[in-house]
Amino acid sequence: MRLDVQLLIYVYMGICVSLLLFNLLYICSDAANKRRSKHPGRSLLDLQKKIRMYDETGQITKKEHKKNQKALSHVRRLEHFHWAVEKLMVEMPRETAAYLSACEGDFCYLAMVYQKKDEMQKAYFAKLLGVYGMGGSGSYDELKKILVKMTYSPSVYTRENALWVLYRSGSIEAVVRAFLQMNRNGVFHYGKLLSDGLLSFSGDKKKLAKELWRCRDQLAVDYVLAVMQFIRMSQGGYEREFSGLLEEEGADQELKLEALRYFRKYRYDPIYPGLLAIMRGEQDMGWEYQAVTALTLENYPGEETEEVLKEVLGHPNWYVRYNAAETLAASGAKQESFADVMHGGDRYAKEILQYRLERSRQREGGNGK
Amino acid sequence: MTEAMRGFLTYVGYFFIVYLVLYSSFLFCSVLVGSLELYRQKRKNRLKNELDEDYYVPVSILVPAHNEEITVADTVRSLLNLDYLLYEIVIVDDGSTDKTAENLVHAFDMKKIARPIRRQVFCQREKAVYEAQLGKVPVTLVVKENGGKADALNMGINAARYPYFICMDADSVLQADSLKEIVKPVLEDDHVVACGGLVRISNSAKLRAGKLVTYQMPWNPIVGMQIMEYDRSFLASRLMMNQFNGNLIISGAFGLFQKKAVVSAGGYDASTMGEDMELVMRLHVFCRMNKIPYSIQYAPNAICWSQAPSTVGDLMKQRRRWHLGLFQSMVRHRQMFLHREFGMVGYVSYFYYLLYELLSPFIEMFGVFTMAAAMVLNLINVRFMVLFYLIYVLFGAVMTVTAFFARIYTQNITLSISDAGKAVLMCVAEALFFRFILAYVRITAFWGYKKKGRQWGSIKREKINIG
Repeated sequence: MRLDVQLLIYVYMGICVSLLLFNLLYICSDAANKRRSKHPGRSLLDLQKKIRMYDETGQITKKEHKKNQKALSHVRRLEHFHWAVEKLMVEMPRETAAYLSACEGDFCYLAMVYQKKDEMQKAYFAKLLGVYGMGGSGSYDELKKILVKMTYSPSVYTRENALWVLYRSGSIEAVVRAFLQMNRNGVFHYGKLLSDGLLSFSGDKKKLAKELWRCRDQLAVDYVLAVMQFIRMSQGGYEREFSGLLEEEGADQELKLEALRYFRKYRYDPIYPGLLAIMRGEQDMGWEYQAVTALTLENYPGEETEEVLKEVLGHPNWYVRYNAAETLAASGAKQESFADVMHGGDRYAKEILQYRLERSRQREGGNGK
Repeated sequence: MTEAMRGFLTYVGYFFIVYLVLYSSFLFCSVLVGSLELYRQKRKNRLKNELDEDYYVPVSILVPAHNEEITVADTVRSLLNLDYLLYEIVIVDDGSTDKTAENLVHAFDMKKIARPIRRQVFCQREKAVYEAQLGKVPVTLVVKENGGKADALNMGINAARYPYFICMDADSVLQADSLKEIVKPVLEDDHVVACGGLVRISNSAKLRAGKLVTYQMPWNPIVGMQIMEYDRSFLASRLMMNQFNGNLIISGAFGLFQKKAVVSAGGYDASTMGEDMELVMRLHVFCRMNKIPYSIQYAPNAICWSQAPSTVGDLMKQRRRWHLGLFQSMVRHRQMFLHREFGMVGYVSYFYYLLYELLSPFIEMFGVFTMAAAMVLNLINVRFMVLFYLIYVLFGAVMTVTAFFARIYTQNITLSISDAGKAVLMCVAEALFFRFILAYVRITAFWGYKKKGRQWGSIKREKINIG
């Protein structure tokens, strides 16, 4: 037994020594890397030379293109290249931008190379394409095909960076294809990232919204929700479509709630009787609808609105009461008009309204430091 | 009789060899996996695998406080400068007998307001609510009757407006980018119900505007050894358990939770001392038993700076509470142990905590007794025993050194040569002495156990060095 234990001890000692060596080697290599990155590297001088040459001659030779493609296929070289570009963008921005633009073909080739690499490298490459503004024109070209493929990668960074390039390119076709492909591949991409991303689209946002809305039957709820949020935050003009959605029997609850939020921002009078009916519980749609509608009614002031909101101040659900009180407090109605609630027997209604009114008063008074 | 004893001691010897081999293998695997994960994270940062856009996961930061008049205002001040778009701060004063609430009201000109609080999870009643809008950040102070830290957190959950909340200690400071980092797992996977951050010891660090300015290894060996212990624990075993969704603990000093999941599971349990661990174990049980897809993650780049006890007395107080909390959580959720439904969580995580955390002091004490008996019977080779012990200490120290330097080099921290030397010394000291202090504390933790429920752990507080 002792022999076995001794063997074990030797194994552990071996592990200790190898870990210590690993630590030492890592420290040395890290220090060497830091030293290297402190002074202008060869890559900076090389790139500077190339940019100057291009500025003088107005062209890049075939051989040079090939060399670029080969070198930048290695991620380390690509990192050095980017480091140099960042420096030169400060020193000679016009020339550097022109050179990068002339290299767009090389990056199309590199896209094919990098789409086969691991997720981190793919994400990095997509990021650089965005930074260099290399999404191409509005048409659906080879580069965009590869970027669309990247949008259903497992890494959120690859997806987001690829989408960013597509948004910047202004290509409606590419963005729509990306959404359809992501949806088809069952990709989860956080809804807020999708809707905010769409807002950064550089092309015609109205047309993009129209195309995406046209494809809604092919998209899962999360994606349609993002499209609806994009529409709500960027533009109006979907009153008919969204009121139709509210009447659709089989439509998802989240989509209907989003439609109600839309009508908070964009007033649409034909929907008003429906909103009142929801608040009165005539449609038996559940408290979630009443809670959202209570906020939507902010955009539909009037006696009837006030009355219906006061009615639901005593609702058994907290959110319905809370939102109704918020809308009432924001309505600017006089204190006297709430006397019936304040002197009524419903403690819940009184407490919540009192709180919202007091809060509004404090905000108006301003207490920020 | 001697023959029987000899036979008994032989089996004890086998048991300890298996016990130590399993522990060393776990330690080795966790340091290896943890280091690789840190290097992967570093590469990820180098290759700019990050989301630059503003983050829109609204977060409520809950700060439970009890007699924190010295630090609480500084803590809130530090929270106002976080690099994050949408968050609120909810401070819960849990029946303080000092000027915790007064200091906050005065420092931030908070106004008393008749705010009704929706009780989704049980907690003691509120006595008063104050609010203020400090720049972009809404701040709420709830003064309530004393009920303990878990009860205060439950009140925080009830008062929180947003779908995710952060729990933290009133003596801790969040690094400016910590919210951005801790919500990343939520952006990557919507099944994340909880995410732990990295807790680092602030005693010898200087922060300005939520950013680390200087960092030194302290001379105080109690603090130094805890730094080593934290690094090994946070950057090794937690990262390893993260690989199979097996973390059983998210430190109460810094963790993100999905409010809906926590409320469904019943909130914090005010009857335990380890409410942080108990909640995470309950989330495992709740989600597994209800077949809810879930994930409990760990974000090593989300950093919170927390004060560590600097005296042996305070350290012992703190660790007693932790050990009792561990005991209560493990007993309460014993159904996890080797249960098929829990997979690796039951086979590896629970098993590890049971054998190497909860029972380890008793096993070690048993080892000492048998060793004494063996010496009396002249059945022990003292030279071999000492050698074996030294190798064991060396092994533990090297693992800790590796975890420590992996963090230093992957998180781009600059350390002077003298600090590096101090760190190595602390690793050895930790392996040589700290273990025995902990074993003693853990064994004696159960004395007076019933009296300690619902109490706040109090250690000597110092002003936080936030510049």
